[in-house]
Amino acid sequence: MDRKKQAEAIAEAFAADFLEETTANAIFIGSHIERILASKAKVIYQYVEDPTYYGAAVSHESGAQFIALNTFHPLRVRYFTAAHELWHLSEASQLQDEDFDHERAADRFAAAIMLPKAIMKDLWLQFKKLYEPKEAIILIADFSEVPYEAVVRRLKELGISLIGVSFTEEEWKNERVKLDLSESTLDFPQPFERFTAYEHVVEDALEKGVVDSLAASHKLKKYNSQLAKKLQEQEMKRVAEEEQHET
Amino acid sequence: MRTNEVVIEKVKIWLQENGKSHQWLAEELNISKALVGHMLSGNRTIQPKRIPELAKVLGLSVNELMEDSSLNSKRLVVQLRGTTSNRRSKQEVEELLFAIEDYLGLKRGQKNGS
Repeated sequence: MDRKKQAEAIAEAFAADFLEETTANAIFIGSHIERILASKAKVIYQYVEDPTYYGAAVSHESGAQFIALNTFHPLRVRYFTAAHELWHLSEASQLQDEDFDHERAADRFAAAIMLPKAIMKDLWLQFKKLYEPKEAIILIADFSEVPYEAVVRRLKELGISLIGVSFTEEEWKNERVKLDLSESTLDFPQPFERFTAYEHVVEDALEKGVVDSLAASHKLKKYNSQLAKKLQEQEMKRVAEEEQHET
Repeated sequence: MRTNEVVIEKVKIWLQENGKSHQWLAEELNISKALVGHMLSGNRTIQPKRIPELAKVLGLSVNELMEDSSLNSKRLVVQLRGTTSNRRSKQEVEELLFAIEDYLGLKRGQKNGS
């Protein structure tokens, strides 16, 4: 078995275990993937206007793990990225040797947990009776909240023969229009920035007097601009009151 | 890197990024421009009492101003998903790492304090 095939086989096997322990084989995880990810690592939402950047996995020698997700991408792409990153955090990933193809495994793991084998096969059997293949793929992509291309790849992985459905994500959006299907919110980004764990630790430091309101505001301005503004106003009010007392 | 060097480096970068002059800093600290020049060239060690004043001017905590982030960076392992294809996105990743380092520093402070 070559490296890629070996990575895929291992990822698929671990995905089945993961689904059994975490949810079930009979549902699509969809957006819930981000909750699962947040239980394993600190999740940071960034908005970076760069179509080639999806996010990052950052680990510290203390064992702390951070996953950044770029909210510039459409929601379905963001969720799939979250599933991909979950592989890198899994025990299964730690067990592999240096030669292991982790990127391949991560993509297969993401597909296997977002598009479980059992439900995909059943759904495809049903939908192909009711719709033409392109429409069925779009509907499955909407149910599962994953990129269209991932659905096509997954169906092929499951041995389903598909012809004439090889499109980019942008082209799939055009196919929706041609098929008279309504727009999906999953095809659009939800731009925001958040680093909740940082927010909590800064608030705690502020409460204990480790940092003052201005420093806290400075730290949080990127991830919670409203709170940063509130803190800055508090500090300005405090300084103004002090000045008033002095005069 | 010694604290003095760390602080000098951070102040210099901050002034450059925020387009502020030595004159501006001197006025903020209520000291002469010549003294600022001596401090930032390393000719004169920054007195401990100046550190909180500097931190306040720069909008940082004393810890942040004194912490050697170059040491922390080495302890972070970063794997990008995709690539950063422009200067702005590279900077965003740098800022992300800074926030993570700061988070870890504050977290350590919490543990030591508890």
